[in-house]
Amino acid sequence: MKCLNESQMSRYFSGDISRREAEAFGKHITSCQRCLSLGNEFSQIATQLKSDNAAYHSGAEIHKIVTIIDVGKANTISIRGPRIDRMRALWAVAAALIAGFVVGAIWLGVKKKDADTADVNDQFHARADGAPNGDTFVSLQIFENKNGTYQRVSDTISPSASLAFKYKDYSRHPYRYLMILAVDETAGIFWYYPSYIDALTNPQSISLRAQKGEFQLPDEVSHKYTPGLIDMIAIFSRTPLHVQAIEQDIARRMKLRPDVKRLEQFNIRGAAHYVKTLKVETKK
Amino acid sequence: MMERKLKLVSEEHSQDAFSNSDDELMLLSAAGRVDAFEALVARHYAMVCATASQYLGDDGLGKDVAQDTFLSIWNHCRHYVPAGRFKSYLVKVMFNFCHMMARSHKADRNRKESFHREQITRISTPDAPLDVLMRSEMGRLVQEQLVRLPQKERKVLLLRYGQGMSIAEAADLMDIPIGTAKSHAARGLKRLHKKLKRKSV
Repeated sequence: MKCLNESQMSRYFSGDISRREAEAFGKHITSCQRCLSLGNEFSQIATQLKSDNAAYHSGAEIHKIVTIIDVGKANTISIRGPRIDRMRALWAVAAALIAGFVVGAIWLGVKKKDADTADVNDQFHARADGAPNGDTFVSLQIFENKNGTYQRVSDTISPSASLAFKYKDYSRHPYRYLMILAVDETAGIFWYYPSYIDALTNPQSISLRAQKGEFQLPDEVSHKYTPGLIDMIAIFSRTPLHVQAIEQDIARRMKLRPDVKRLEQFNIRGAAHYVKTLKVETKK
Repeated sequence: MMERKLKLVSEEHSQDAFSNSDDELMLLSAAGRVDAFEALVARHYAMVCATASQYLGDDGLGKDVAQDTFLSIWNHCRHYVPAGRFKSYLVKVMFNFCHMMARSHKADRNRKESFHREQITRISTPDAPLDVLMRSEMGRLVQEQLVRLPQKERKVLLLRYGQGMSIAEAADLMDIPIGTAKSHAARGLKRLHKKLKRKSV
């Protein structure tokens, strides 16, 4: 058998040869001085590689590690929940997406419904000779109590009419406050909402629901009117208005232009008003 | 399987943590038993520290790696699956930290100098007989060349010859086929022999 080269010897030492080869190498090495010497060299390398583990055993180092790991940290670790697996995370994301889609669809549906309602109200006009000014989405309906039944007032009321009201508000942002009053030809003012009896007080507009829709006001109010024309006025506003301020404004305007029979304009910022002229006459 | 293990490591049956297997100690550690983990560290610290020191060619870095390895194992002990392969897990974590340490501390650049200094201090004791000095010098040369070997060959040599494991054991710990482990060992030995021969010439 030929002498072993470096590769063969290293394979022999690491066991990377067949059993037959190993037996043949073993026999040869014992009889060949050169191969024996080469084998010794490899043996020495292997010996030198051997680690002296005992030299590295250090009680102080072990204690140091254990000191770092205190019981508090152990408790902290023990309360950690299990890691969320990938499939569960994917399901969660999918569920969130579906939920988002459903909510979005519902929201779009609601928006469309609002838009449809707005379209309908674009066509809304006050009946009879009522003319909404400033905002076509607000209106007032007047009912007169006639022997216990309420009849819609179109153009005439009796001098002692007891009136009830219903208002409509379909504006994009419904108004929050309302005043209802009437002004006759002699600049006499009749208040329905708010109630204004004591001249020493200065009540303000009544609060509304601030919702789109048609709402009935609770009270029925009666005054003694003088025959002639009378303007029924509803003032919708974003902020409460005071009775005395409105009265002063009406008096000023009537004084400046005594010939004006109808109060078509109120210069109140952020307010919409509705004016309907009725005729007060004694029933024939 | 899991239930059997858990039953084994219940509190009443495991007062003496040192008598338990590695898997049982890991399960106790996961339950917050620091004494169980201490037993585990005491059992494997020397092996981890020695292998890491040889792998990096620096005892200080080896100690750091050992510490990082055990702390990492403690922090992840709740996720450990007791399948009787703790040592394999330990060795993997250790080598990962060795790689990180080598990168972050540029150990490859500095290991030669530090190793030289250490070995010179060791062999220059006045009472050392000649054969001891010769062996020390040989050891220094072997360690010096070891850290220059490719990672895979270095790992197999350290487990096979450094820790005295069989090739099959080393292959098992490294999760590689036995044939591959043998090839790595043979190539590593040959490379070391060649380098040492060149040095001695």
